[in-house]
Amino acid sequence: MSGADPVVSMQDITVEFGESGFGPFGDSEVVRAVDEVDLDIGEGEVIALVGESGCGKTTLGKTAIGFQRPTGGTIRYRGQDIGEARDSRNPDIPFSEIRRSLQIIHQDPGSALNPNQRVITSLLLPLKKNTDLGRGECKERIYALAERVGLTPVDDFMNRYPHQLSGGEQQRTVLIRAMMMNPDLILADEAISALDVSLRIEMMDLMLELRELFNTSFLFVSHDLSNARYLTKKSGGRIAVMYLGEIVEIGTVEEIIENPQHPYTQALKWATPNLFVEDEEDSPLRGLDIPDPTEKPEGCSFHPRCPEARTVCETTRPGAYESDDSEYRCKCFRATDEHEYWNSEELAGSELVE
Amino acid sequence: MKSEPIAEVENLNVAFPMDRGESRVVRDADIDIYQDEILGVVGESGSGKSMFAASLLDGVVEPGVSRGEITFNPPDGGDPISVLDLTEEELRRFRWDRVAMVFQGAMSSFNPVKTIGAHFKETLQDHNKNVEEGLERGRQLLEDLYLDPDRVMDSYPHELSGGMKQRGLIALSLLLDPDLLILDEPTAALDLLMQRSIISLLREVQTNYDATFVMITHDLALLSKLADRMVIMYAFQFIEMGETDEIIWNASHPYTRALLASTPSLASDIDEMKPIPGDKPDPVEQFHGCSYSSRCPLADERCREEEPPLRAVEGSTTQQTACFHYEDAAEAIHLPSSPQEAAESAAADGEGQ
Repeated sequence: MSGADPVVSMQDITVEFGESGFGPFGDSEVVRAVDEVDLDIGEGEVIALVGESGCGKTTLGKTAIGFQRPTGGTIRYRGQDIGEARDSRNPDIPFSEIRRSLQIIHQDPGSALNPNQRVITSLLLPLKKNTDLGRGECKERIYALAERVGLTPVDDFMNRYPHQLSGGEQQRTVLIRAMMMNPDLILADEAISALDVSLRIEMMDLMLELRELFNTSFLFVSHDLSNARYLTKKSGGRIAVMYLGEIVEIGTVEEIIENPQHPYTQALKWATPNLFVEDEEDSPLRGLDIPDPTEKPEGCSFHPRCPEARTVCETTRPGAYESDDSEYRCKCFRATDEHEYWNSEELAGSELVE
Repeated sequence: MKSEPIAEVENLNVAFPMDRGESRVVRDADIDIYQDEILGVVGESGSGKSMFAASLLDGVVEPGVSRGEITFNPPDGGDPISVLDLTEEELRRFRWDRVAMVFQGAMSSFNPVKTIGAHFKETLQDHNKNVEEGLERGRQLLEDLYLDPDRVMDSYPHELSGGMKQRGLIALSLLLDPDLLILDEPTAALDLLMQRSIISLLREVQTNYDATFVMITHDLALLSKLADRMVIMYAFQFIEMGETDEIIWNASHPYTRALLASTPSLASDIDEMKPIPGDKPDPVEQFHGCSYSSRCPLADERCREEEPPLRAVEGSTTQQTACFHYEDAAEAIHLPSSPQEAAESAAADGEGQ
């Protein structure tokens, strides 16, 4: 799917929060939100980053667009190290250009718009600041995009305040604000979760339409597997499943939704309620609650909840098993036929929840 | 499935006075809630579903007013209770003892400076119950919800995760053995795995404790895994109700069908997923005719002038719909009508890629 040169390339990215050894109790309270992640985002590619809250998907997304500095690893925008661009005097690609090229749409469009500014002002300001266009040209670009996403009659919408827009209209306003920078990549952080069910498909279609028009890549962060499927299936993109800071499985819709190998992906699939499907089998989980992220389990981080866990999973952290002929990767011993896992003993006390 | 109704709602209206007129957020609602069923109330945000739920224990916040008749029939054979006519003191006892409610967002339902155990104890004391016996029941409930009673009882709310708090709250709401439990979006703020696990737990708890559940949600797919019966709300009215299978496989109102078609799902054909065009109506508006007519592909002159009443769907004793043209809905908004058809359609979708 992705061409030779990715738009954004992340290698060995680690992001840690908190400090060690200080504080009133002297505890080490470091949370490793992202744990040695590799991810390339191709030109025009759609990647859905899926996982439960606290899995690090938003942090990874923000790192990908240069909002969050990783504490380890490198991130490149078209070959230019983003950290270097920020720090050095004359990088090949200036940091301001990188920032303009990597945009974000937040979860709550209501709070992403200044309540005291008319829509047109919110849209004009960033365009004037970041481009050499005159006021007239700016307006022209805004009006064309607004027309395109259905904010019509445009004149009327441009003169409204954010509270006079519906949730869907606010989200479309935020979307065109990001699009008018002609970005290479947009991070859509749970951008449709706050919308009513009946509006979600419309919003996703709109994003895909704009992507086609401008060949923009999308990194779509979501906890919802159905939305991830819809977007990636329509765009031929990939789905990356995150658990406790790691991408545990990544691949195409067919690989992740139709034939998931990682037990965590299988659990997510089980947990996604489907209309038009008779009831599925019982819970594939051993434990209900997610471990405390400051005390990440030894070995495979999913083993305390994993129904397939064996003793080797308690001590050894699985690497990423790659597929020879695709970009599919899976961090589970079960993805390979020859591993000591298969001779390892099943974990005691593995009664399933339910 | 039909048993005696535990609650009968007749001609319920909820209204809020506003500067620009009266905002009518529940309009002419009629429904019987049967003993030991799980009734799901589905609607998008602002459809009036939470207001309907709050009315069941006369809990609509000021200055909102509930009008109409809500009759509660105690399953133990006591006299029928007219909920909207209760005095403050009667209402205080009626809530928790008869009807309990789990509100949206468990995070804010617990007092942050009290342990979970203190909440249980206080609830028992306030209602003059035997504290020791009650706490024993509470511990059992926590265990049934896969929580460690020792740990949870001694914890403060901030020491528990969202999913644990939500389960703790469900246990607390069942502490006084209510006949009817109302759950308002009990899983909305939770993660996927926890949502699904709580849904399975709710079914178990409902069976074990012989309670009737009313669950309010926007999540049709999740609800379809739990509810025995569903009511669909659109623009402050009940527009369709029926057994869950009838709603999923044979929805008769164009809005219900459109809602089903717009719900993203892992198995459905992505080309059949369609958004619903148009906007929902304003609660202050006095609309003529069918509230969905401006967005409905089947709407004609009559729909715009006359309001369709909720009436039985031909051939069913349980399904009702508020649409003049429901016979044509299946053709206008296509959906699979059986699991076999759904599987075939999903398979064809896969080949097309």
